[in-house]
Amino acid sequence: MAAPATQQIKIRCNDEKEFTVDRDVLERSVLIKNMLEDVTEQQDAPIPLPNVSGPVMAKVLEYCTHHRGEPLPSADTEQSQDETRKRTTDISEWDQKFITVDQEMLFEIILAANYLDIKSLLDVGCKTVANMIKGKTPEEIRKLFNIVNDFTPEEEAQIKKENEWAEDR
Amino acid sequence: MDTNHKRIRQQIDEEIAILEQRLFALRAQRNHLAPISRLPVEIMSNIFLFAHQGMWSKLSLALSSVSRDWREIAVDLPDLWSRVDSDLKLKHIPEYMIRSGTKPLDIDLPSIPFTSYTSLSAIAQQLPRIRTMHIGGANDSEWVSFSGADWNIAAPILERLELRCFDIPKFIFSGRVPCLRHLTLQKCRIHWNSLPTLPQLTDLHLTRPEALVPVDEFLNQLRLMPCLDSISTTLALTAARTPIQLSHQLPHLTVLYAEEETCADVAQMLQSLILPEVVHFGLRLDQRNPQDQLSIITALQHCSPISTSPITSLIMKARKGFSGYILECEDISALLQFQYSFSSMHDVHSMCTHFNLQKIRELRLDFSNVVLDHQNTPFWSLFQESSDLRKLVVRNEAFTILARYLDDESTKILNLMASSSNHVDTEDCVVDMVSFPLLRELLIRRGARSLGMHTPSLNSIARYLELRYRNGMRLESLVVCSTQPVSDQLKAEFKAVVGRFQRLTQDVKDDIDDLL
Repeated sequence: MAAPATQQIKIRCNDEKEFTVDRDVLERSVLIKNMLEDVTEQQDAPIPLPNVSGPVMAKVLEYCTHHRGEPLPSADTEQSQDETRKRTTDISEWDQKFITVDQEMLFEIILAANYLDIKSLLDVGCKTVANMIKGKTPEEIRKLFNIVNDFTPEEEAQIKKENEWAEDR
Repeated sequence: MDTNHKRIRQQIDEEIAILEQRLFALRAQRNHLAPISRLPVEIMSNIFLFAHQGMWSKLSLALSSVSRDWREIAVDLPDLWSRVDSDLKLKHIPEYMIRSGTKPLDIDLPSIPFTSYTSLSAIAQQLPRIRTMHIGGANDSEWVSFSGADWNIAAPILERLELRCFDIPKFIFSGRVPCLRHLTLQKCRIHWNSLPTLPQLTDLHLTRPEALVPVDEFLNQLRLMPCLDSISTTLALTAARTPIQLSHQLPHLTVLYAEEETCADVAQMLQSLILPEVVHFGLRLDQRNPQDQLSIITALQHCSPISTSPITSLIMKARKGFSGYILECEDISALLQFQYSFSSMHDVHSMCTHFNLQKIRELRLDFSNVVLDHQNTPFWSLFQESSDLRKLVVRNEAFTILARYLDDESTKILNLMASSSNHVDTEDCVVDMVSFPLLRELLIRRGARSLGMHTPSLNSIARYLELRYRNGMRLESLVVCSTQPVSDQLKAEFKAVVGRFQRLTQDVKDDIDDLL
């Protein structure tokens, strides 16, 4: 049976930080929505979220609060939307401002969205990283994400061959 | 001594190898500590796919060159390798084909150098999973040859095929290309008789006459395209100069568009076609020979007999105009959309006399080449019966006519664009339109939602906007065209002019910011 929209739910993060949130906000997360549907009696104990820290959860809740009430993708539409979603890396203005965070936080938000199963937030995170990558050379990408070239000389030679552009086609 | 040195060198080499291995391991270990490495493979794959859109093979190569982990993810992601485009070195096509697994392929190689034609065999082998294919020679004087590759293989999922400068072999697609919807042949030689049935083909575009020769074979083949909805040709209909033996019926064709063709060729082709459903007819003619104009009558007289469905869209453009002849064609009362460039006053008079635009919804008229006689041209009679006209685009000098037309309360016009190019760099053109008292009042009174102008005076626009907004009427769109680039300086100047009208509220200024 559907609970009233105003029901408050408590969650506990891996750093013991607790949040009390409106049920409809939390239900943006398919993981939590399923957990709540599985619980028949009202429980006072907070829902443990061992994979998310307090500061990251605060950001996730900011996103969920802003997008509360928006339709969630149904299982049927998800697959067809997958193709459409991949065609564009456009991000709405609010989402862009929201996701303007340092890299550490960005990746944490992506991981949290993945764990909590919040598809739209996961997409915003992935598109943001994709936009950071677009148009960059391998060296620029390495620099951006603090990665070093770990190819062996043989691998390096193969890559060099692949990257010789059209001039001698 | 030598043996000793050799042994030491060997030991050193072994030590270097161990250290190098250790170095690579340390680098890989360091990469695992980078924040982005916390993202699991499926999320990285998702990111790669998002990034790939629009960047194609260039990005696939970049992603696979960052680090060993990234390369592993990229190489295992077939979608990243399913598009073959110009950024790719052709000799690596086979490698791409392996990496793309069983994914449908999109081939986009519009300009292949002669020396690389052998690479096409790698593509030919993949025909069963090619979804779209665009291939062409590097220049128009070369013919891309299929020799050396077997193209007689079924292409069961091919939806779009675009070939340029191709010598298409007699046997191709093994008689099966069931999903092809869009076919474009630019300067291609093709054996129409041996082409398989194209049951799903809806659009056919042919450029240059080679693709239509022999024309009877081509027309005969059209019968095997039962869904064909649209044919467009560019510089191709000279092929119709050879005698056409039979009439050919295209029962589903609704769109026919001829670009850069001569009137005689269009007429010749139309005479051999029965097109019961054509409702959109477009001509963009090349009339280098003035004598040729006469034959357009023949062509357009066929508009009516060929089509039992009334033509609803007619687009006429010509380099030198049609001298009024086309206006004598019959029964265009069902036209919903009409676009026409006048070349003389005879055209204008003829249009006023013969045209019945009762159902017209969209009308685009270009008076650039005509000096209008405002007093003696009963031009507004054109529109009097057209009570459904919603969009009117007029180029040059018809402002008086427009004003008379708009003054009629029965007009329902929602979208008006008027322009002038005769008075570039003066204020006259906009004074004519926007400051023309009757027209200006009417535009405001009738509440036109969109306003378009060509080479306008900033002052006049600002004056118009002021008057409009003072009457509490916002504007949904403002299109300002200029023969000069619209620079930031010009925009700033415009804002400054608008700003001088003190009565404008902040809302208005915000609107104008949006409009700009």
